Amino acid sequence: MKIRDFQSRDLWLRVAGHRLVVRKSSAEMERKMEKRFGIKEVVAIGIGTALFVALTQVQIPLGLPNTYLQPRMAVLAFLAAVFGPVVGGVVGVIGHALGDAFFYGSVWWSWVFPEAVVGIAIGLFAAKYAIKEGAFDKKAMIVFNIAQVVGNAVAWIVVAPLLDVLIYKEPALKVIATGRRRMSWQCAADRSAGYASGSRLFQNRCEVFEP
Amino acid sequence: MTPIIEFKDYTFKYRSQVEPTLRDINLNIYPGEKVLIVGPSGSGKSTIAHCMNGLVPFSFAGDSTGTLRIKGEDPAKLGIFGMSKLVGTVLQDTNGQFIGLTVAEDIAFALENDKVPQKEMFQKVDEVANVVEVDSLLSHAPWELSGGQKQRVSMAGVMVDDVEIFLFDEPLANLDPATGKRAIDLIDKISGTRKATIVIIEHRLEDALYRDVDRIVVVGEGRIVADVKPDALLAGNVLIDQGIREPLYITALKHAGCTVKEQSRPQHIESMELEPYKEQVRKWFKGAAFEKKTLNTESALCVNHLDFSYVEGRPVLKDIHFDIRKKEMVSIVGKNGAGKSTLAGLICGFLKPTSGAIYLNGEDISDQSIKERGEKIGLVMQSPSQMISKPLIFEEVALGLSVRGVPEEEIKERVYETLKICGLYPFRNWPVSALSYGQKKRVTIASILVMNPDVIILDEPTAGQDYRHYTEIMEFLKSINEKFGITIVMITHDMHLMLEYTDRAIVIADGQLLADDTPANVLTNEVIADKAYLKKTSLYDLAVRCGIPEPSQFVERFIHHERGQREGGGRNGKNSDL
Amino acid sequence: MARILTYEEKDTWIHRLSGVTKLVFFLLWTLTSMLTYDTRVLLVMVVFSFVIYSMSRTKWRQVGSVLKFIAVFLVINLIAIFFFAPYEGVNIYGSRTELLHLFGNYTITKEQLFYEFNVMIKYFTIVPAVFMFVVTTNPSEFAASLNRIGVSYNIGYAIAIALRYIPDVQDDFTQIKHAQEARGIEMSSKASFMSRVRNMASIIFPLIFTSMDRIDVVSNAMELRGFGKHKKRTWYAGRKFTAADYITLAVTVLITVTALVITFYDGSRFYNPFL
Repeated sequence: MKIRDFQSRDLWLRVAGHRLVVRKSSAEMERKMEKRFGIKEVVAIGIGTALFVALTQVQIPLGLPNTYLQPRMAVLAFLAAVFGPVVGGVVGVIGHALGDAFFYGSVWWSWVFPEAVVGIAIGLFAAKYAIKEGAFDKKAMIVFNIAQVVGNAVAWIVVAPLLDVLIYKEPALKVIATGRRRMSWQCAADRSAGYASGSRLFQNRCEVFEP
Repeated sequence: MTPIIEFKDYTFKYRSQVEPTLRDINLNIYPGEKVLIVGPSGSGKSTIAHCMNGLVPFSFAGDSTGTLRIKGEDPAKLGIFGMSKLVGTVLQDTNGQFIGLTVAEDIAFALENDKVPQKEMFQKVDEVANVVEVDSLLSHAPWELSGGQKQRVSMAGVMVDDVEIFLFDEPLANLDPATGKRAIDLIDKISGTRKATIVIIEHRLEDALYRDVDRIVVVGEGRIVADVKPDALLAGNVLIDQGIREPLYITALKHAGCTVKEQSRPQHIESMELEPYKEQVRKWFKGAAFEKKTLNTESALCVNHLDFSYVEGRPVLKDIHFDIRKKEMVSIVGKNGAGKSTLAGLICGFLKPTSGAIYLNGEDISDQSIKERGEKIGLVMQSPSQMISKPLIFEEVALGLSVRGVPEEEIKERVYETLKICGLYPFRNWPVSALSYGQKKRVTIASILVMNPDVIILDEPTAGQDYRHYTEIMEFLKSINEKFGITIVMITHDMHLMLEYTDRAIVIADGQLLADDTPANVLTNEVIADKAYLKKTSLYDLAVRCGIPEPSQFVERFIHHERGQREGGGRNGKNSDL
Repeated sequence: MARILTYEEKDTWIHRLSGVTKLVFFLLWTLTSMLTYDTRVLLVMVVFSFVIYSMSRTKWRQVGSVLKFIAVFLVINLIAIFFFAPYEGVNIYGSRTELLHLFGNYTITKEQLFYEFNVMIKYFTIVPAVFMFVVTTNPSEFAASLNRIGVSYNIGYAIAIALRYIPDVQDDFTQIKHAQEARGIEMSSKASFMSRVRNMASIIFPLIFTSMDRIDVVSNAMELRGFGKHKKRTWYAGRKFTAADYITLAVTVLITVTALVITFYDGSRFYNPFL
């Protein structure tokens, strides 16, 4: 099965490859691409959310109290980078809300929406990550990290506190609402660092494909 | 009569490929026919299927020349949705194809997309659920079903659409032998009652031929190399030339020196005219060499009266007891979900037994951690993508050593040595992603081998592989077993594998040890085969029908002969893709 | 992996309600409970929550493990509030009734205890609502009813797919983790930070790539069966809005409005017994 060989060159490359193929194909597909939201995106949201939810309880303690690196962030970043802002945003919202509800029995809305902001921010530049070359090169890396730093800053320094104020109002409650989170800027910084090291690991995987 | 599927001088090239995958295909399939398409991996048989259901060119783009007509229509014009009204596809991955949250919803999926009113849906779903006998499971979720049940749901899911063509893409790939038999039966039933056209893509020829087919199309290197009646195909040599496994009884007849004739109707062993061959088979049986393997007495892995349950009172494994000797190659067989994987989990320490113990080289390992056990017992997962986490081959193989803090120099030495054994040394600095599936499988084996384990456990090492890749993987395992004396345990439901490569089969059914015997004895024992969802080997039928009183002896001799042939230069240059 | 809350089929009036009705209830209920600190309102809501909860015939087996987790989380939070803001209650209620001096700057006050009591019963109002929504709502019916009120069926179906594949993904994760552990990769906290990240990556990358495979297979399967063919689709698991739905919605809105009016009537979100 030749198509398999093509696919298996690299799973990562293949994800990209598929999109490329889809983009170029028949009239029907093009009509669908106009909506920029085809079956693949629907399924990506579904399975991406499943991944995100399943990984909710998988955390790496950072040694600092109440600070964890969450592997599910990597899932969000990856999906947003491959499938764009809609998928990134929706997986952020639904994934976080469902994950909270399933595992913690309560949903903290002031955490849910910032997650979506990050997904959207990363997803906005999906086309720039040079996915079609199969390489997550230096330039892509820079774009990605600018997007994620800005995204995290907006999400955790602006949106999250804003929602906290709107919904919970009291400053002390921020401690409860955020539980593991400390100050908002610190949260943004932690997360940015997490994404950055993640993207570095990811780049390591892709480097071998550079021509 | 006009054909319902018509390929005319059809050539197709994927956009991502340089060479066409299909060349000059001329193929006519007529309404109501039941056609089997066989061919090795990479032959283009799946691409033919994709052309029929519209995945080519809509999901996999490419360029074609020549014409393709499905019921007089051009798929490229009809679109993938138009095609789905004509052709119903049952995919190989039954779990992936199961989209709905319950059986009923999954069956109704196509109707929902067609805006069929709910009332009508209820009626139709009930109707087809009846046909495929899942009517008692309508509210079940996918994880409550077995692989065979999921596949039947998939069939129902395409039947609701009243399609005229049913396309089965490797329907047997993930099923145990008895369930596979049932699937073929059901396909036969659909073809009989619905008067539909059936196209089956499969490389497990013997199992697919359990019920009559009208024609077999053999695909090789993108071309059709044969398009004949089953009897004619089995009488010829096309299969061997294309690297497709013949039914075992045909191979046995050939070993006995018989020339299989088309007139003898060799499609089914039960109804084949054996009179002309009997004498010769019996003669061969008497003369064939046979050697009883003397077993090593030293124990490698001993499972001692093991019990396990997730929930108290509902045992998953009951009193499992066996002793695997050093340097043995053993298969653990049984129906899907019988507890085989649970057993592997217990041996590797992922799960803790409720009672009983496990001994490695005579030493109780109950108190050892997963990591400690991992140094002596290696586990190779079914799919390489479940294991491979590093971009480069060297790194992937070195992973187990580097996390154990082995000095860099030693890592390099050991990894290189292992890569040489596995035939991967030339690729040591390649990205894993550039390898074929079979090579990736080797990388995962290498990454275990590098730790010098005493025992390697492989979960379905050959699932979904064609004959060539199967042989390649198994010969490789055999060579490391012989050269390094590593004990190899394989969890499988591939009967060929257990017959041809293992000396012993541990049969587990419903959580209990059913048998611990030679594969030949297991596969000629109807009671055991039935209980464990295995299938009696056709060699048994051949022996019985030829009047040989000890069918299991016949099987033993056959295997011995086969092994001798493989070792004696049986490699015909097709064994390696390196 | 930990067991998560999942839908279980039962025949109660709550199960028979439309998913959208339950979603509206769930959203308004949690919103109200977040906004209000009025102890009287909260107590009424707690009673209400538990009544509905028992009517849903939810078993301990379904929610027990999650509930234990929440209990621990709640205790930690209550202690944390005390240490981060020991006089929050004093600030809010504008009086200070000391009960017990602990050490340094920490004194237990009546006001703080009352404040934390409010925080605690907030949990008791929200948690049963979430549980009920999750364990009594058939995901497919939910997708159908979302679609009915105008949400694109793509989103509805994406949620259905998510719920369908969570168990599969959890299985994948466990299998991959085991295979990697057997190779010597440990998830323990003994390792250094970077090596912990790298170890986790050795599970996450295969998991992501296995999931990418799955996206391919599932989207092909859906396409072959006509998903996305029309602007609309029907639903096997769909259910019509019944009188019970309208009544429930009306009651929910009524309670929300009443609760918010009582809460904000005197310009403060708090009920102050210390006045």
